[in-house]
Amino acid sequence: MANLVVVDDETLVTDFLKFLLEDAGHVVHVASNGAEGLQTIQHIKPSLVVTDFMMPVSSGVDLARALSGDDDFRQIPIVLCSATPHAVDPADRALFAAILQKPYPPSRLIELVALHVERGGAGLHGQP
Amino acid sequence: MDKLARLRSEVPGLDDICDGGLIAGSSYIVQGRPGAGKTILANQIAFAQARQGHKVLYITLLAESHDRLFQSLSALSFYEASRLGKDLTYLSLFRTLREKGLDALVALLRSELARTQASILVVDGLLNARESSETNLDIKTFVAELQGHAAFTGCTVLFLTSARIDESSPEHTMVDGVLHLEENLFGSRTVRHIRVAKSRGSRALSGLHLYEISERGIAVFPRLEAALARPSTEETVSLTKVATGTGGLDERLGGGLPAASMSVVVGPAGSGKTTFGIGYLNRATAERPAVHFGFYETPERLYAKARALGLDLQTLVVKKALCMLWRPLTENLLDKLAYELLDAVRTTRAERLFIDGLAGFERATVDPHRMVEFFAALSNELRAIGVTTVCTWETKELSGPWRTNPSPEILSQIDNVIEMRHQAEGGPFRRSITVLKVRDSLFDTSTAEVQISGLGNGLHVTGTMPTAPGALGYDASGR
Repeated sequence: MANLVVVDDETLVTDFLKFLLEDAGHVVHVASNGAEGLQTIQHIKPSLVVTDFMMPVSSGVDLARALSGDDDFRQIPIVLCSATPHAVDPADRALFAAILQKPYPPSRLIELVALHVERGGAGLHGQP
Repeated sequence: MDKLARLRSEVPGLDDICDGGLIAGSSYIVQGRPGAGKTILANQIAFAQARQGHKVLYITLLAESHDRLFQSLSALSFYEASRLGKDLTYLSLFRTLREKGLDALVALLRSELARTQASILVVDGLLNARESSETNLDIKTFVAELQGHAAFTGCTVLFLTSARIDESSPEHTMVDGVLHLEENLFGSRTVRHIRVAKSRGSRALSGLHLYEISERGIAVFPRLEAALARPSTEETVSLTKVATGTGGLDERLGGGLPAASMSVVVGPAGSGKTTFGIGYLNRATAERPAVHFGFYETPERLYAKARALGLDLQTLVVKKALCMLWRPLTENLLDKLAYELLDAVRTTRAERLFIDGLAGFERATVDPHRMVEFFAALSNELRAIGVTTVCTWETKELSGPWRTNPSPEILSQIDNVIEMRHQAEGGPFRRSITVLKVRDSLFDTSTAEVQISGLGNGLHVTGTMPTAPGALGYDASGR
């Protein structure tokens, strides 16, 4: 079981991912934009973050940049799930452990989460 | 007086019904039932604005995912995925509205407008905002605050809603314009109409205008009689005569058809109307081209028919002397037909036009009461463009006065009337042609016998008929 943060402005997406990832045995925390996501991550210190790109207040790339600039959080793998991944600047792609284009097979996300959570090790059992 | 800055929507026909386009910095409601095309229209405008260098903020207040929206838009030619996230930002504020209410929504919209520097804001799901408001005042305040902010920053706002917005609705009174999209059943066919229900400070084309949704998105066809209430250019009356291509007929017409006039060839099926048209088109040259606009024969069938007469229309097409447009008598939109016709005549600079036949327009309309006004607009414009038009009109009866068939109100708008008949009473099968009316010209009122030959001269007069029961006795004055 790992602590995960899902950041997306669409409730349909967060509701579904919460269901999917909880069903896979994880604890899921939800935020609706990059800024809210950053606050949640700072509070939760999750093992992995799943984020959308286009969101109000601050984007998924803004969130990833903020995390990469913080020693306490830069090791957290971030999976970007977006309908418009091509809009991400090539230089920013390195901020993400993986990029999925919506719509994607849910099993693919489950695999990615399992892979990166396992690799992350330290954050695996992190609790707030 | 300063000219209002307007958006170039790149939605064919939309700017025309909006007096040149939506006014920049104004707010509009786009209203219509689900499936009417509101989202397509808004996105089409949004992508056009993005292509023109503007930033677009597209807000959804619906529980609908953006990736599904993008999937459905990806089938449309205006959609460019590469612009998403760069020129167009799509945000869902459904949760903000649901959990924090209208005030929080307005505050967030303001900050997002500033963050994205958008000059176009689309709010998809005004119905949801309306349902979230406790009173009419709330929704009025919501619209007013957004509108005020947008006007201050020069941003144009489109509120999309499937709610019925009547004139007393608070949103209706607040916004600068209302575009109403509707889809209705006429018999067994579905027809879409758009109406500018409100247009503050701008003179829109009133009434219903046909529109269609295709892979290119939405195209609006402004009601012809409204759009061309007066011809686009001034008509110049010419004394020039145009050869009909029917041997021996021009002499009977006083030298040919008056240039830039409208003629109709009436007669029952098989009397030779299309053959008349083939002869007329055969006189086209690359310098003085012609357009054929037909509802019946395919171009291939017409080429074959012409070949049987010893005439070669196909070569004329290759030489760009002739443009063939075939619009099968299936489901057509009346005004779309007219614009395609006018566009072809303008583009090719045609001097001759053959329409086979007028009934094709009648069959296309879902509102037969429009036909007289529609035809007036179309014929006036064709005259003003300077093309000499010949139409066919099939009469239902094989005998009796021709005047009992076509609408007298439409016939009165036609400059020249030629009747074609065939008869086999008391002898061999014979075809006849009678000139019934020619604009500002003397003409031979006698009935001529015509024959169709395959020797390269098609339809030609062989002499005057000794008697032509039924047709004789009517002259230009209708006596």
